[in-house]
Amino acid sequence: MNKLRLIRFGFFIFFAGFLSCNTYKSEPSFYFWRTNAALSSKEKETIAHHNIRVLYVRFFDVDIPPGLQKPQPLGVIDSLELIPNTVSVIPVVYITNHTFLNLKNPQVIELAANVVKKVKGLQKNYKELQIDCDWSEKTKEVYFAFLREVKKLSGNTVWLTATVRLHQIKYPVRSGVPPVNGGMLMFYNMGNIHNLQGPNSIFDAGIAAKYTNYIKDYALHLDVALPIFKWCILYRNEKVIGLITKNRLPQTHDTTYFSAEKNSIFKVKKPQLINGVYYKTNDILKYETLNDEELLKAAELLKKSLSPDNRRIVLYDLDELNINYYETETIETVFSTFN
Amino acid sequence: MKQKPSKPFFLLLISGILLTTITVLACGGGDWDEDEGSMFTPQIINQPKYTPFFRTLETPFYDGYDDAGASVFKVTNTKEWISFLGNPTSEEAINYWLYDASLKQVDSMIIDLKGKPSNLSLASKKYTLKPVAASAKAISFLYYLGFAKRNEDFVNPETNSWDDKPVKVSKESIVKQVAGGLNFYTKAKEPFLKERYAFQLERLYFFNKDYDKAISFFNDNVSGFSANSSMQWRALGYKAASLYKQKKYVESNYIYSIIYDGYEPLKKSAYLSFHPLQETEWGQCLALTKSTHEKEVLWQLSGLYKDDIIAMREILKLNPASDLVDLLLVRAVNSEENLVTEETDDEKKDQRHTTDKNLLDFLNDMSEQTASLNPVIWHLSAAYVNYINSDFTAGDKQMARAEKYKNTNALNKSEYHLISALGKIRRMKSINESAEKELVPDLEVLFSKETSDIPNFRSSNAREWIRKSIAGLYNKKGEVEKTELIYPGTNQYQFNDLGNLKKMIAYYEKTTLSDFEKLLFNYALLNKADYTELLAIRYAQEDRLDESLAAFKSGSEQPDELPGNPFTIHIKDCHDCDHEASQKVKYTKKAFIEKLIEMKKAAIAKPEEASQNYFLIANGFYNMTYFGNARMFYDNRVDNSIYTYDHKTVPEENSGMALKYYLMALQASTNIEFRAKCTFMAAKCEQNDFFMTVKKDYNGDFKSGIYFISLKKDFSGTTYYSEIIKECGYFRTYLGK
Repeated sequence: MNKLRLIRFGFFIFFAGFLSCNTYKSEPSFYFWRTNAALSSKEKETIAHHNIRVLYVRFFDVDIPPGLQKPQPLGVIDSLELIPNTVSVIPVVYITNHTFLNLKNPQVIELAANVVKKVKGLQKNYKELQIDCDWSEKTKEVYFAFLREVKKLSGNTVWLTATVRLHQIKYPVRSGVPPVNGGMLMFYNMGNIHNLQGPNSIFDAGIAAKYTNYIKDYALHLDVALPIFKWCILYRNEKVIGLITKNRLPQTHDTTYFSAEKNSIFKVKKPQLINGVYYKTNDILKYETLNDEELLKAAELLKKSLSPDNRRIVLYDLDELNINYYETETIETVFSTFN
Repeated sequence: MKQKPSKPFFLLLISGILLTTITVLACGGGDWDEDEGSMFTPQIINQPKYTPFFRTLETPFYDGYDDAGASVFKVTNTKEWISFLGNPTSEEAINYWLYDASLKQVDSMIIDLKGKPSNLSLASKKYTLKPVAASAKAISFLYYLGFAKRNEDFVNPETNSWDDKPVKVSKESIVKQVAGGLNFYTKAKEPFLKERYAFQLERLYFFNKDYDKAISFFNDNVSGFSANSSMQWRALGYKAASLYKQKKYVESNYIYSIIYDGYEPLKKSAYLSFHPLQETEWGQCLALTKSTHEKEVLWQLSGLYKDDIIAMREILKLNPASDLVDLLLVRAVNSEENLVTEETDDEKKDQRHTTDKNLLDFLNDMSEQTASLNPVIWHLSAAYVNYINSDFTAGDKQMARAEKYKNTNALNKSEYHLISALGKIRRMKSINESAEKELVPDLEVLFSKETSDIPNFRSSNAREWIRKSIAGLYNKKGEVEKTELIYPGTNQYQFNDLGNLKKMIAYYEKTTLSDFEKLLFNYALLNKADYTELLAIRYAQEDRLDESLAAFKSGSEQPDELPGNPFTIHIKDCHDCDHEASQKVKYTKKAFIEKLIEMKKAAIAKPEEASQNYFLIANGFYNMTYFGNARMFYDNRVDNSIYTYDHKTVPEENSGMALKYYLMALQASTNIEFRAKCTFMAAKCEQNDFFMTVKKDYNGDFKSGIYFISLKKDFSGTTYYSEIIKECGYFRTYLGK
């Protein structure tokens, strides 16, 4: 464990020392992924209840919008100051793979400088910076060059992390291992949303099992993220036409508009505009989430796949629309599973 | 106006943690990518203002992204100021003061105009406002600028750029700025200035989240704006945005619909902002309308967001002559176009498309009562969708109605003939002379250059589909030459057979042609010379060099030179090295054959040089295969398989002719080093053939035949042998080294 990691986990080591010299400890955390940082009272309660000390906050996305040549920051977070001062904020920047598909090596230097400057403009000091990108074999070279540049600009005091998807863990040679201090394993979105009849695309134990053996061997220290979100996949003429999340979600059990086809699949009975989403007759909705039991199962499976270490357990994402769905004890148990 | 970053239907964020698996975020069903694959040109509605709203999947708009009118505003603004200040002011100067000059320079210019010592920069001196006739106007312009530029600190929350830092302004300074603005606004006498101050105040209220004030200020001062001015529309946008912020969606959406309809620079932006959430809001929004036209506009927006057919029905109920349906009509048709283009074989053609019955019924219904509509687009749409649905009787009925309008303009005419051809071909089970005759008038139009040149006309895909479909019918009849003429490459390997190739050339020489054949020859994609060249190539590959040369000579001259010396060979092939190496003599295809003929003659005439000549000839044959440096030799418009290989199905992958001549060279020589070289080259040919004949999924090494054995047995003492070991991995593997 290098010095930076010692500093990062200093808090635990101090407490862990009371328990046993060899006990590893996990630290609970959440992602915060909205554009406005005003938290509801329920969300603030959650932070207090679970003793959340760090929060991974999406600062902005980066993409090259159609018709433009250069990457732009999009959906920049507003009112960051509203985040309770009991938590330290870890900036997260999401960058589309499309961005790196369209950038050449020299241009990533400019992008890295822009990203770091923008993050610093929003928050002067931070101990960790996370870059989220579902890179591919085609983009790894450019993306990694970008990460190296961000690392260089951030200096030795910032712990740079990158999100890592399961497919990248399974094929580290093909995907490469990002040149960062640590990774954030996203233990979700493992299935295929285009497959209406397929298993839950957010998490499925069968699909997960195809990847779990590779986690221990991964070359980076990993924090882990688990899903507490839900969504509806909307199909029209057997094609996915949208994902509906958060306050756009419809009441799928409202039999005036929907009929239950089978577990979690619903058919639109009559055309209707609901929460800004228009449903045509015969559209199909697939409602996906993890119930309490499934979430615990996912946590246990993940725990078994990890080697003992200090790590953060991060739930995606902090939003009362997600939290309300779970028993408080479930969230507690998920966090404590990793101790 | 506060512009939203994406269509409201979907998430405002593109963030990957949630959305990594998403590849499709389409706005409607179907597979179209822009107009790729489409045969129906939406521009037939002839209403350019709706172009951004044609069906598209790539971006929110058919013509790209929305810049919220920014570029238009800039130009308009400059023009308006020039007209206010009077003509001596140049556009360049106004642009400088409006968009480039600093606040300090604005102040300096005021001081300068007042005749006091100022600190003008070079640029400010260049664009000095002194010559402006009425200097009072110039000063009022500068005062306004000073205020507007100060306002930017308060009203620019645009964080989606790399440069800006979030500006933190104190409450006190905002109050001061508002007070200053109100003061200017009250004192301003010129209506031109007054409405600009009003606009600035409106922005100020909005961006400082004083939505109540933004709404009431607009309402109280609306009469101060000159009707239809850019300032009025833009200020109205802030009022709508304020209502939106207050969650007064119904009223907000209503105003956005007014802006969408009334002010073109904000049309896209208003469309994106228009954002009803629940079904009930529609009714409430409609209740706010003050005229039938406003209702029609709302229904048009509803059609864009929700259901186009319902919307069209409602609009036509309100006003049977409304041209607001036209956009929805072509959008519905473009959404419905299924991949007719992929169904050129009979199995697919017989499957009826699952056409949207609602649309079909609606179109058939509407085209019965088109007295006051734009009839041609209704009939063409109805015909097209009926044809897609394989209801040819209904389609024909519509075409008969469309016919009288077809000559109204070039686009209508072309679309008419396109749909006509589509209908005729889709119902054909076979093709005969009378079917050919029927197609001629349509294809004459579609294939003509004038038609290809019509802007926006979606013809290329139709032409491809037509060719493929007709070719399929002729192929079924066994008329292979006609098949090839219409759609080259339908029978992929037929020209490996010289007989077929000769028949094809003869077909081009046919003198009595039907009208249909004349048309096909007129618009043929390849010509006789292409086939003659392929014949020359095939002769060469069969070592019939004299015939090859004759064929090359009878075709058109091909000036392209082969990229490397085709008589060079190495232990390890390196085409790039050969192409880069300097060459004394460059060979065209024809010259290459001439040289081979010359070498063959020399080999016979001078037996003492036979081995060298045979070796060079072998190199030539080697290099004209897929493996050689002169692969370009068989590049031809008929058979352009130059960069692919397909396991011995084509002559260019056969190294047999090269092998034959390497063995002749070997036999003719007594020099052991040279013989070693010939044997190794024979081994290379053997190896190429090995890899061409093994199963496609074979992943192993070369299994040597007789020539590696011979090398090891007979030539292990030669210098060349040690060179092979150094360079050739296959041989080292064979030797177990």
